[in-house]
Amino acid sequence: MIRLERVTKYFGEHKVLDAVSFAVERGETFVIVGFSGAGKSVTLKHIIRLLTPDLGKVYVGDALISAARGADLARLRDRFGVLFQGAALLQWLNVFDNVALPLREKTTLSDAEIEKRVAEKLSQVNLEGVYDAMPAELSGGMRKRVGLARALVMNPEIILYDEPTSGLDPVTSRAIDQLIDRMKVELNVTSVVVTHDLFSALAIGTRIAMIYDGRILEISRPGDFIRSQNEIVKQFLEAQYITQRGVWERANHATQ
Amino acid sequence: MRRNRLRELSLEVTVGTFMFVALLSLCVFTIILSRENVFRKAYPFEVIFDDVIGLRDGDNVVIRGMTIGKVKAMVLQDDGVRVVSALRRPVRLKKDYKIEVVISSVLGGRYLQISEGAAGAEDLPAGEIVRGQPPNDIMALVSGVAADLKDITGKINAGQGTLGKLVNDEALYNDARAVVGELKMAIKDRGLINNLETSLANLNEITDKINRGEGTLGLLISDESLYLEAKQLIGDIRATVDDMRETSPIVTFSSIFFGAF
Amino acid sequence: MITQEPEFLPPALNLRGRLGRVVLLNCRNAGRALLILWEALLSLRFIFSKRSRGTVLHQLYVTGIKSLGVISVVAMFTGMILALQTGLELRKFGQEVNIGAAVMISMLREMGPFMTALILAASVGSAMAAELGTMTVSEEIAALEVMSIPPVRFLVMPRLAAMMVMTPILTFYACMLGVVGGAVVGLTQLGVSMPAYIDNATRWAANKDLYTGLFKAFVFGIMVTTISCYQGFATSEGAVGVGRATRRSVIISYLAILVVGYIITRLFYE
Ligand SMILES: Nc1ncnc2c1ncn2[C@@H]1O[C@H](COP(=O)(O)OP(=O)(O)OP(=O)(O)O)[C@@H](O)[C@H]1O
Ligand SMILES: [Mg+2]
Repeated sequence: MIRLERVTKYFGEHKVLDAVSFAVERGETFVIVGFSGAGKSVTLKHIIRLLTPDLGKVYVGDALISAARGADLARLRDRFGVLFQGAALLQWLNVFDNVALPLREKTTLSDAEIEKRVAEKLSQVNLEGVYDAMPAELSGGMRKRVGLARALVMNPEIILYDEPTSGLDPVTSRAIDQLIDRMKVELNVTSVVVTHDLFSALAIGTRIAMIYDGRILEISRPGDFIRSQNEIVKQFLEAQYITQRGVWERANHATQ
Repeated sequence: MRRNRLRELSLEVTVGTFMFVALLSLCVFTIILSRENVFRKAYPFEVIFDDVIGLRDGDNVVIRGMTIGKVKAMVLQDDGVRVVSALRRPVRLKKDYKIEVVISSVLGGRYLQISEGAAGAEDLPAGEIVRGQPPNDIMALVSGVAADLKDITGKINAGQGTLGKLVNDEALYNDARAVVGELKMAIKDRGLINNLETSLANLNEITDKINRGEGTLGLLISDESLYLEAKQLIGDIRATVDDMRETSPIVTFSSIFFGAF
Repeated sequence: MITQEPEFLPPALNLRGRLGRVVLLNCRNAGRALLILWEALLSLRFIFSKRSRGTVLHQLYVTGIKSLGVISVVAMFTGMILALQTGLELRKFGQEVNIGAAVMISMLREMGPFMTALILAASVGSAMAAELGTMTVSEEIAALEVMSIPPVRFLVMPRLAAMMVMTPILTFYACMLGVVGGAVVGLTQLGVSMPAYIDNATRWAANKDLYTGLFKAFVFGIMVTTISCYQGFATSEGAVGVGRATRRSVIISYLAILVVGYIITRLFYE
């Protein structure tokens, strides 16, 4: 469904992505984890062609999105729903209008149908009764969920999430996890999830990729991921109190 | 949602009203600026000039001091400029009609003056081409006289000229004195441009005569005061001309920055 | 594509390299700005579509009605200053009554369009740059592009339409107020009666003056929108970048208004 082939990206002298290759199958939930500044968001932006690789190729289906332009690009992008790291809500529209925006701009649905669809998506992300609030009046977590509702509202076949659960309380986080999982099961949606949250990565991911300093260190199934022998992956896991046996343990240094 | 719709409606009304009022006043203003009375019947009037000395579309047409219409268009022709004006009432020209472009202000205002002619005179036959008076350019007049006077006083100073012939003509001497007086008054009151114009015309005549060798040059020479006055006069006329020249930079400046005349 | 990738240029080696780069970059930026304008002009065909109508209306309101206050004050005082200055000069020739023409013509030809455009560049234009700049750095523009909602149609077109309509209208309004201001000064300071003033004003001003002024305003409106929106879209580096984009949009708009204003004057009044 999505295929990156040796994607390399420089920001000036700084090599942000170094020959990143992976393929995401249809119906998969592909999770990308990594330290802050490792290049996760940059990878996601390459998939949707907000960035163009300096070297390498990005395919969506059979189409080479890294070279698409104009109407072709628009058609490819229509297959995606994207949740940005900062939610990227339009500040002058209220919650309802933000979520309704793609419907209003790109479909000919009636107002009643739009209202129904928006209400459905907002309730899926546990947001009801804040239709009239402006983005500036929302908490970071609420904003994120509005962004999520907007990403889902067109019922896309591929959804890219940039940290869907960061800034959310654990209960809402798990609800979002379930939402992602449900869409995979019920609608066969393909997802690419960037997250720091290893719990959700392990819970929803069909495969987990670890990016470190612009390189893919490891791609494996969740069960294999926690048993990885890679030092950096181990360090990453231990930092979140996850050991190789998958047991929740307090790391020794944390109690000191 | 409903709340939004209401707000949008009041927006629509505000913006719509504003634009409607603005466009309406724009239309009204356009009509005002074109200085045309759209609702009244206009009588066309054509006259041909050799030179219209800066007459413009929209300038007034005046009969005996009363504005009766506007200049509508001017067309360049082989034999001059055809000025078409629209009048509010018809004019009946006599044989001795006189039509001229009059300068109404130093800053360049002009109007078209029509004198129909004496009441008793014969009517102008229909279809006859109406011709306007050739212009008399005040600036040219002023500088012309100044040059002439300079010339004469120069000659006087040098003691040249047909003195003997001139000594006798008392009348011309008096004439010159009167003109100088008149001219001085005219220059003092700068508004009285028309006065100045006639004075200058008179003076021109005199200096011409003097140049041609007629007149009381002898008297001119013996009368120290008149001589001095004549000298003074040249200075005054120069000052007037300079003043007028000084006006032009203001006008130019205005036209560049403030827009102008 | 409106979202631009972050740009990293290697340091230029010598003076010539730097100079050449400045020239090239400016040409490229101008080109991008013009492409945005072109796309916005093409999207004007959606101006009455259901989804754009609300935004266009809102922009008309913000640009037109909300600017009335400042423009009123500025226009009034411009007219008053013009009347006083030219009036004092003209009084030396006993020609005070000509302030009518002086104020009317200078407002119509130059001051009206200039003042309006400068005010709009400083208020509406800078707001455009700041809004679009903030949207750019918070990835809202990117989000629009990903949803394949063309940012130019969605954001620039309503602003362009509003400016194209409102700048001439506000200019006309400013001219009228300026003339009123001149009349007040004429009446109180120079002893020019109202009818004489108005007669003089309407006698010398021609429709050409009015419409070249409005045409100028129309061009200024397009320029300010293009420059401001381009600066907004070209914003990078967060809040600092937004500040820079706003400042640039105002400065470039001012320069463009002056230069293009001169050129248009030259074109129409040789
Ligand atoms: N617009 C930009 N200009 C310059 N450098 C950038 C830009 N965007 C990203 N980078 C650099 O690219 C690298 C990767 O950034 P990226 O946003 O992908 O990190 P990330 O893995 O998403 O981190 P986080 O988990 O904090 O979001 C960082 O080192 C960052 O400095
Ligand atoms: Mg990131």
